[in-house]
Amino acid sequence: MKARPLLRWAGVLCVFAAVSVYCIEASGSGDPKAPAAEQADIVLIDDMTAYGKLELPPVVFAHDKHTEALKKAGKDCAACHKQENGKLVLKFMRVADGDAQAMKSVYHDNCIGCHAQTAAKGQKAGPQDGQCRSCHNPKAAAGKQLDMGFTNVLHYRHAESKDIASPSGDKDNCGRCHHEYDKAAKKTVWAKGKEGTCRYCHLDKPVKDAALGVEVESFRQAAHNDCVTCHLGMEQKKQATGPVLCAGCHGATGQKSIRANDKKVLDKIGGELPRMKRGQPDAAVIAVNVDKAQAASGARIYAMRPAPFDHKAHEQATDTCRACHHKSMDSCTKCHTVQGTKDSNFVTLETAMHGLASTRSCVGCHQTRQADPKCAGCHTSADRGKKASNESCRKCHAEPVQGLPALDPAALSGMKAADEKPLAEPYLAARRMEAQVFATEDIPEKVTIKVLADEYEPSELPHRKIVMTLLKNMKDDKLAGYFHGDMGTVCQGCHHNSPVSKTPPSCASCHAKPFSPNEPGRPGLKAAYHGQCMGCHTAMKLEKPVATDCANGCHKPRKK
Amino acid sequence: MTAETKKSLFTPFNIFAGIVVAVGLVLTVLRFTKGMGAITNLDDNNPWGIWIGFDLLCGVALAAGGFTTSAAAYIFGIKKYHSAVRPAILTAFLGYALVVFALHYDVGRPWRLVYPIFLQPGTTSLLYEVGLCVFLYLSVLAIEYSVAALEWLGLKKLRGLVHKLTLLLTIFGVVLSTLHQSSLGALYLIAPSKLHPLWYSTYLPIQFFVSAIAVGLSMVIFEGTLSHKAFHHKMDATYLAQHDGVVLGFARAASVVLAAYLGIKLIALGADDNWKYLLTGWGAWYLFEVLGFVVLPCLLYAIGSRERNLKLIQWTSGLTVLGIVLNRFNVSLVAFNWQLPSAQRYFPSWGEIGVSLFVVVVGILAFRFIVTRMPIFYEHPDFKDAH
Amino acid sequence: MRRRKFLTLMGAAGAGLALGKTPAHAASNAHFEGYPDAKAVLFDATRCIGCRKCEEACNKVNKLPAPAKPFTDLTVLDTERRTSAKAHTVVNKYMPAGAAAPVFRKIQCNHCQEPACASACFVRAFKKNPDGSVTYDASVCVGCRYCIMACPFNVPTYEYDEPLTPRVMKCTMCHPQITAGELSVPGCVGACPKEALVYGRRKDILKIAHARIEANPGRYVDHVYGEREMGGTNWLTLSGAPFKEIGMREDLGVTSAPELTSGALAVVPMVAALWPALLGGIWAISKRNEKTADEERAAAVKAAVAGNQAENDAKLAKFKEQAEKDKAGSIEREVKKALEEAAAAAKEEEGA
Repeated sequence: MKARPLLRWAGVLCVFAAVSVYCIEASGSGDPKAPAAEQADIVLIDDMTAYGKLELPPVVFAHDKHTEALKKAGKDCAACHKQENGKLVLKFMRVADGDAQAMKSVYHDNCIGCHAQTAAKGQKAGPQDGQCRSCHNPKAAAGKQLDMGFTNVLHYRHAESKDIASPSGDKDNCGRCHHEYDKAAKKTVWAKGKEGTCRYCHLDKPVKDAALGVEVESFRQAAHNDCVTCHLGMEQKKQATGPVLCAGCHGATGQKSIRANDKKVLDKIGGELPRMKRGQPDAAVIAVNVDKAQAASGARIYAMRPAPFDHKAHEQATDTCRACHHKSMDSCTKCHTVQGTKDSNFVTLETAMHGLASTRSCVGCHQTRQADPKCAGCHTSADRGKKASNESCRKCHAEPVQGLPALDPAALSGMKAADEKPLAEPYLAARRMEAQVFATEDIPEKVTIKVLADEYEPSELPHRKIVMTLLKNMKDDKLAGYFHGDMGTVCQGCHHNSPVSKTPPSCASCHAKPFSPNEPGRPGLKAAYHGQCMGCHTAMKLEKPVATDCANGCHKPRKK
Repeated sequence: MTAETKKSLFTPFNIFAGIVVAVGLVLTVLRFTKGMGAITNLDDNNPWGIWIGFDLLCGVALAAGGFTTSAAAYIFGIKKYHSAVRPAILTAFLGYALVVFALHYDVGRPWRLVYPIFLQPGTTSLLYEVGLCVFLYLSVLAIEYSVAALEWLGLKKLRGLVHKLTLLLTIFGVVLSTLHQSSLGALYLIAPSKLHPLWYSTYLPIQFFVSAIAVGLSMVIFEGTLSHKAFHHKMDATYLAQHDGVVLGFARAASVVLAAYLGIKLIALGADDNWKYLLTGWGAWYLFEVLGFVVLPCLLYAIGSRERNLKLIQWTSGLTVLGIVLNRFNVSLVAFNWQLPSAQRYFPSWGEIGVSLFVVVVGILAFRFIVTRMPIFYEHPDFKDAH
Repeated sequence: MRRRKFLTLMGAAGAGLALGKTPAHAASNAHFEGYPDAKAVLFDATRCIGCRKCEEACNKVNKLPAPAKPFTDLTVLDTERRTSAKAHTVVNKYMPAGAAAPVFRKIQCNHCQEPACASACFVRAFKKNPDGSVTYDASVCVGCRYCIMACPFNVPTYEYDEPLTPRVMKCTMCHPQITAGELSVPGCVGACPKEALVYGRRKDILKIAHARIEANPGRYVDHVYGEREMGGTNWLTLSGAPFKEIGMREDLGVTSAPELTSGALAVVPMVAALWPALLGGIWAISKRNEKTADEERAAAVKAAVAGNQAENDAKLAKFKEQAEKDKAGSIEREVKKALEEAAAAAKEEEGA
């Protein structure tokens, strides 16, 4: 009877096989669920990670949800946050961290305690004792906070606000936020005229500053300490103020309303933001630093011509000083020298000014502006890898202008900003800031392309209209205006690879035969036309004519 | 025709067969006047349908009884299997003949079927190997089978000559069978991107060969069971006396071969590290095939032969046959083109099923015609010299 | 029982044979690099605008039937199409995830360096030409459609509606027209308004493709599709979107079709040569076993018979001896008796 168990096994297998058929239906589905809606107020309470491995996953805490609930219950921030020196402490129910057990108790006693109390009153409450996984829930939605930055407009709104008084009775209220640490007085003080952005000192993580002997708060701590507590204080005094909830700064809708208010303010003052009062120069000259002794010895100095720089115009064109001044409010050449310094992480002056990899460099930033559909037509088809032309260099590196003092790098080295201004300004004033083209009558109105006419009638190109449209696009743009200030630069958008001329060579003189492996980069005439026209139209987001609508777009079917 | 068969001309089977043949003839006319597109669901993504998946792959696999039985009887010299040889050879011969017959529907220009063999052989193609082997093996089977036909016709001299060739033909038959049974699997080696990884393996040829042996053995049992019901009166004492021994012996052999087959399947799974697919819907289907139609019959055969349970063995042989049909369908149709969207997947049309059914019915009719006339289940009284 | 076990072992031996990977192929370093001057076409998906001019040209050059909708009707791009017996090439529109604009991709025969169709064809109807093209000869085709099964790119198509003379239809890279001097480049290449298709020596074309990737950082996926896929193809593709997103399989691998089947083919001569010897051997063994068994039985019978004889003889001899003895004894007895009788008679005579 040895075979009985065998027979039983066979039966089991049979059932298993039958079940597996049903499994086919069951599997295969299971697409990951759509990510939860963006939540700006989700805070991950993972303070305990500092004490070793966590027993349970960190708590996912919805801050705004609690704020609202407490408000309804007639409580305020004090329900969760203690005060120190009249200021709210951001840590939960404590002024300083204790040991692991104490920390755990702070959270468990206070969170669960409050929940229990609320529940006892018969109100809706959070998880109770024993419901560990309701708070320590690894699957809960992760928070999504948008970065909040202090733009120039926002800065203006704070600087001009009558509700923010200067701490020292000064007519400017910069000192209300800007400070540095006075080691002797052991407190922060306003250093007038030396304001920088918060991020220069307040970094991603708190840092022990050995020289000052204090721990410098992280940017996150500093921003919440100063912004939120100030807003809260004003709110308690029933004054109009900025956001106090997480979503107000870090949520998409909150940011939208901030931007809407910015616009209102800007419209009120006529659209142009007054400059910041930090004593920054109107104009400067960017020059390589030359060894004075070497210059005095009469040795020949190899240095690029200095570049007059319109600081004022660039302030208008950017959102925040940090766009260029990423580490300090000092001049670029302080750290970025010809060979680079340790402070500049050995980024040389040349790279700092021209590097395409960074949007902080002059050329890098200018190039990002070319992505604008108004510019992209010509600028996307241009070969990025190509070396810049001499004309393009001269746009910034000033040629000596007759009647103006030459800009001497040796003389400029170490010069005070105030002294650079009179040197730079005449050069800047002499610049032509509007795009130029040849006289209208010199621009052919229509160009008929008939070399290839075969399947279709010759194509008529509204040549002058195209040029004028490009020019119109640049009208209010100083950057574009200046860089297209020479006759014929605009023409080069299409008439590329040939010298500037009123009568540039025809396309066919370079583009002839269809594709040749010997000149793989040079398309044949038909492809050149189509590539140029369609490429430009696509980049400029022109809906019409559709590239594939041959017979109604640019061509007409040939009559037979 | 005996008076007995005359009486039963309008049996249910005969009526059914008549309808199928009539439909088959209509479909044949349609196929050769309107083209394949008119009666099949074949398209550019699915060029091979059930005419290949069933008629060719299953047909050849199910006809494997011929070489396994003759090898057992003649090469391994197991005399008690001799009586099983003739029915097996006949089934194989008819099977292959029908495979070739069915191919005439499936290939575009059937009269060119000899081109690869005589005109312009494409030796890099596994289909060439299949074609050549099937062609040669069909000839071998025809000669092997002709012994019975010659006895029936009473051509003693010729019969004696052919009979002397038995061993040679058997060896040749085994060689050819080994080659083309495995090559049918090897046909799919060229398309790793189309066949699901659970079924695609570099061991496909061996899997096809080993499973063909298992199904060949099962087919002898299965078909013997059916023949017993239909043609008991035609069987002689030797056949009947040996029959149970054949069933038990073949059952035990089939059990061992199925175990080997399972081993190769597992090796293939491990070699390509395809375990992860087992958790998908395809994996469930694969397990269904392997557990339900390889492991289960393997066990049942073992139990059946141990307990000398003929009934169980006969049912198991049916299960094994079904399992191999399922396997061939999986490889050629179900798991093939598995990545295509379901709208582009293949499902046979009624026309294709009709033709396949037609081919099967023609086979059964031919089998019946032959066994009722020629010495298949019995020894010819004039040739008692044994085989 | 022992024999049946052997049967299974045979199966295992067969398995072992087939397991051995293609000794002819894998062991050699030979690798087909393609014909030296083979041509190739480069398709640049970033240039294609989906105008269907290539489809139109292909239709004209190959004298294919006019489509249901004219080539200027671009609404056909809304559904994904494949090559068919009436269209050797089609352009499809794809909307890759995160792309701002649709991407177009042209499908046609990729003209593999080692074509699956040619290796699969059992009448050698397909040919890889020195100019890189793969062409088909309908005059020998049987219509088995194994080429269609084998093609990893799903290219060849079949005239299913043709009852007696169906053909396999696919792009020829315009090999016949170029050979005849009617065209200098394939029809589609000549018709492309954007040079999204270019034709030249495969070696040059590969360099150009890589140069384009190099010269336009960020514009292309850094891969030339067809450089190594399935052993390399003579139709190469560049794309800005991941190839998977424009309907091209990225999981085909670099092994050419002939290499995939060479292992199985290599086993054929082995089986053909070894099997008869092996099977003959088995037959001989079983025959010998049978013969030995027969002989032993005969010997046993003989021995049994012989043993009986000796015993009988011995018995007989004994019997004879006994009989002799008995005889002798009785004579003696008789003599003694007679003597005694004679003596008694003599005594009586003396007494009387």
